[in-house]
Amino acid sequence: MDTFDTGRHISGRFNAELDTVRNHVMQMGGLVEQQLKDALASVSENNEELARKVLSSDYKINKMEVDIDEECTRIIAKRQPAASDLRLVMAIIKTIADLERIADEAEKISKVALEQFTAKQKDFLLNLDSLGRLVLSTLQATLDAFTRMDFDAALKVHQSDNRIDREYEALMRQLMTYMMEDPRSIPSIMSVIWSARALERIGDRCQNICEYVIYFVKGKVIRHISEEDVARDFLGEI
Amino acid sequence: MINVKPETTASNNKVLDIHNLPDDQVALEIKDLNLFYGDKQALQNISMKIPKGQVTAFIGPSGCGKSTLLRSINRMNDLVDICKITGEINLHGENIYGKHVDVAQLRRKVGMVFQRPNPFPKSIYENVVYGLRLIGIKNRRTLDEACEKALRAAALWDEVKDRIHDSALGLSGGQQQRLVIARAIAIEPEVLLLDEPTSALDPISTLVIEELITELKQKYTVVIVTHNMQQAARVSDQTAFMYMGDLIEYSDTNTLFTTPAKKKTEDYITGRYG
Amino acid sequence: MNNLNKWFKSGSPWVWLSAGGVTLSLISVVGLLLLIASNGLSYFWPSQLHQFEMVDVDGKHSTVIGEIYDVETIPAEQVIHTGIDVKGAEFVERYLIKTGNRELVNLDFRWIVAPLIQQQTQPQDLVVIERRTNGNFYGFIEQVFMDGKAVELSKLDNFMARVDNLQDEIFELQKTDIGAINYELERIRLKTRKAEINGELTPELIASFDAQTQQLKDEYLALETNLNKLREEVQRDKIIVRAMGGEKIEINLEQVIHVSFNNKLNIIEKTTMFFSQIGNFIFAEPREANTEGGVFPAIFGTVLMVLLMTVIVAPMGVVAAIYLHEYAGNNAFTKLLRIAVINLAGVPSIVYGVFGLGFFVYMVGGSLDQIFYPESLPSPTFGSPGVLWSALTLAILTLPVVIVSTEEGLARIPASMRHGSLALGATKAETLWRIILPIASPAIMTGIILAIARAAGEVAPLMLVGVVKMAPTLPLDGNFPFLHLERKFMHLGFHIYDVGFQSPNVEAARPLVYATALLLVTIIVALNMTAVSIRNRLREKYRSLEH
Repeated sequence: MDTFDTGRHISGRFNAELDTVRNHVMQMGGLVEQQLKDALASVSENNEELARKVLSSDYKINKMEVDIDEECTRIIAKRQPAASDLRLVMAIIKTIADLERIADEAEKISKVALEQFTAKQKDFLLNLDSLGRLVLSTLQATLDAFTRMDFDAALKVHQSDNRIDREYEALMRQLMTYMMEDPRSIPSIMSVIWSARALERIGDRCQNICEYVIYFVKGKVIRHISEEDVARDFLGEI
Repeated sequence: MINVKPETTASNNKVLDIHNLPDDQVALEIKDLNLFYGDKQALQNISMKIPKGQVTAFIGPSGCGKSTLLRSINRMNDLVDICKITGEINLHGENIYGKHVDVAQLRRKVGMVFQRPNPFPKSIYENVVYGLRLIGIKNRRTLDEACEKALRAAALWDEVKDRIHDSALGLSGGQQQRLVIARAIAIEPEVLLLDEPTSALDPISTLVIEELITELKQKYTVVIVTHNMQQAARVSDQTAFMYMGDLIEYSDTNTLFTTPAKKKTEDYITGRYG
Repeated sequence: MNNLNKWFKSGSPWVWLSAGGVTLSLISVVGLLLLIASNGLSYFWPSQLHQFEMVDVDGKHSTVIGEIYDVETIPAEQVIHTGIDVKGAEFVERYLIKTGNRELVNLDFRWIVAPLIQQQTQPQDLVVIERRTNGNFYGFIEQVFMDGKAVELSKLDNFMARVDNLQDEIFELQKTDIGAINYELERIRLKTRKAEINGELTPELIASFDAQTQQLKDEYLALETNLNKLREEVQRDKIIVRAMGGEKIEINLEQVIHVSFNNKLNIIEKTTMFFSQIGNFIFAEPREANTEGGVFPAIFGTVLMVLLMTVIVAPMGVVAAIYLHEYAGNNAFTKLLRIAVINLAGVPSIVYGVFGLGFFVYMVGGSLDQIFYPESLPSPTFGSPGVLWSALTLAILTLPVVIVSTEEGLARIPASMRHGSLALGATKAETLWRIILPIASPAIMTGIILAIARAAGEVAPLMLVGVVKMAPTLPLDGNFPFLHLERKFMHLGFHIYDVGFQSPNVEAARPLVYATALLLVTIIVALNMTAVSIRNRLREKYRSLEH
């Protein structure tokens, strides 16, 4: 059961429908990943044009979310999926909601790039860069786990969220220090904080998506459960 | 230890641990049941406990033995000459295949409803009181009251109260099936066996019967065989999946239909090649 | 060619073929019924009476009076050699005339050839007199006498009515009252004999029997006086009639059943007479060795025997079918049994007759007589052919039909009915009795219908086991125990055979044969229709099951 295949259904059309909706989710994932990449690049390079591109592309992701949502509704209505099929559809519905939110966060980040930065501010933004790279790689790993419905990968990503949190806290402390040193910089630092906050949120959403992957594969819910318990429960049997 | 057991995952909070049922909650206990038609083994080592006051569904592909298992609970398999049974089915701790069991009396305790509605070609009233007449009840008032009670319990009274002395064959398929259920519960059985009770009915009649089954479990232990997995998912509390004469998986319905433990079950309920 | 092929493929040739087959069968059935009906019913229609003035080849004049029975056209050569002048014609007609008057001429019928007829008239006052003996009389009424005094002709109707009443009284007295006394006397004789055999004949018993006998004899004497008085009364009037040869004959009205001036009757009177004749035929006793009068005892015997047979065969067949279908296992023995049952239906009926005679009459009946009726031996009670043995023989003859159709009916009942009943805690017997048999009842009725159809038409075996040409008493009468199963009886089928082929005057009996055949067919159809309507009502009740 750990191997993933939508195939082997007696109904070929059901197979095709499930495959299509999964492909759409992957496409959407790719799009979101691109948005985040562009948003981060626009900030680090202070590239206004790229930032506008991010802002103007968000509608595509929104539309995809609505479309995939409808596809899933149709599958539930017509096929009454059970067991793994049901879990897959549920996971997809939830995943696309999270992906859409990630895209929104990316939008927020790219808005920062549209602002006029002082030289000092640019230094702060460099700090954001490393967090951004970490989050981006997490997103990539998440999407990868989703694509392969890989339980191990998903669990690893789920646990790697700690690193993002630590990085985020470190960044926060740093920014806090700057603000205390120079209260005049607070307004410009605030926009950096918003971006960092957005990245941290993206990390959480990746964690959610991994939870859905785990739910799909194992049929077990690990939301709102402490990490230690998850580790003990799953790592034991791996 | 994290708690991923059904007790917390499912919204239904009165889920039983059916593999470790306390004795007072067991309606039927099947122990190492083997059933042979001639040389062919139709059931292999079936052991399960069917809880009291709940709906238990048997699902599985055609020929998996689910109907055979159902029929062995009220010994309808006795009608097949070449049928041989080993093992036990205990009702109140007494083996129904024991030596001194009165089969007619057993069938009064374990009622059965069949795939196609099979009302007798008599009036609605006579159909309902048939079982009572068999045990020698002649008092008109007793019969009248029992008839009304059974028809009400089968959600049929309001539809037929003005014509209970008309022929039962004039009823629609769904009404006939409810009449047959009324006929079965008129003699107040403990267990009610339903053998694909809606397979010959239209979707609306099916829903009415399903609603009725949910009502019935207040008073009776219901065991239902169905081809319709969604139906099993809708009406039952426990579901047993059978395959080629084996009991593959038996657990509470919520678990079985979301996270089945066995691959065969998964394949069957998701409609994959076995 | 192509068109022909198409036509064949369309299936219409088969439609035509089957329609043709149906038409053929319909035509033969309707034709048969029409033939029987027309020949049979014409017997009752009052025909015209003719008077022929004849001159034979020697120039001798004679008169012939009677009904024209038949007309034939024959080649002239057949008559030329007798010297008849056919006036060069190639064919001549000849008439078959019923002349009656058996006391004057030996034959009721005579052929006359058309060329010899000088004159043919239909005199209004020609009369046909139906008599109790000697057949019909054709002629003219010369005089009517009342108590030896001549009175006018118009009084005749009143006299006839009076005679009819008196005859009815006499019949009633003889059959009912005197018959009952005779029956009682016979019973007392048998009781005495029984007591004698058992050694219980005490003097008191003899005295009591003697007293009873004496009382009955006294009653009998009283009745006899009565009877004699009536007999005298009925002989009061007579008529003098003139036959075709001019002979004058005196006929006592006691002998006369019916006087009819056929040539005077209009169509309404004729129709009335037609129906009253049919009524007589159905409700009267036969006379003159069955060649005249009615057939009531035969109708009664036929219907009673068939009903008795039905009462016997229905439970036997149903029980056998239930055993075969419900209880007997499906093994070689039951297969053999089924084959035997089916083959039984193919055994010639006379074989059953022989079996019935040997087994029922001699073995069973003989033993019954030994055990229960030793007092009447050596004259047999059940040890001779009788209505019970006939019914039993026919029951065995028709048993396979009932078994087969009942079994088919049982096999058609869906298993879900049985299962439904068993699942409610019914035993197999309860299920059979309360569910299966009611549903199978139309099939059982079909079996009974087929059995009746076969039994009512069967004659050959009955000749061996109970049917007689003339039974003195009906098997059902007012004397205890009312239904006398040991008695012999009359049967319409045998009646046809007897009248048609065993009577002294075959020609005269021919219409009677047709009339009786028509009646037999009608009775069988009526019996069948009754059974069919019962079956259809049952079928309607269980209709929706048969899908």
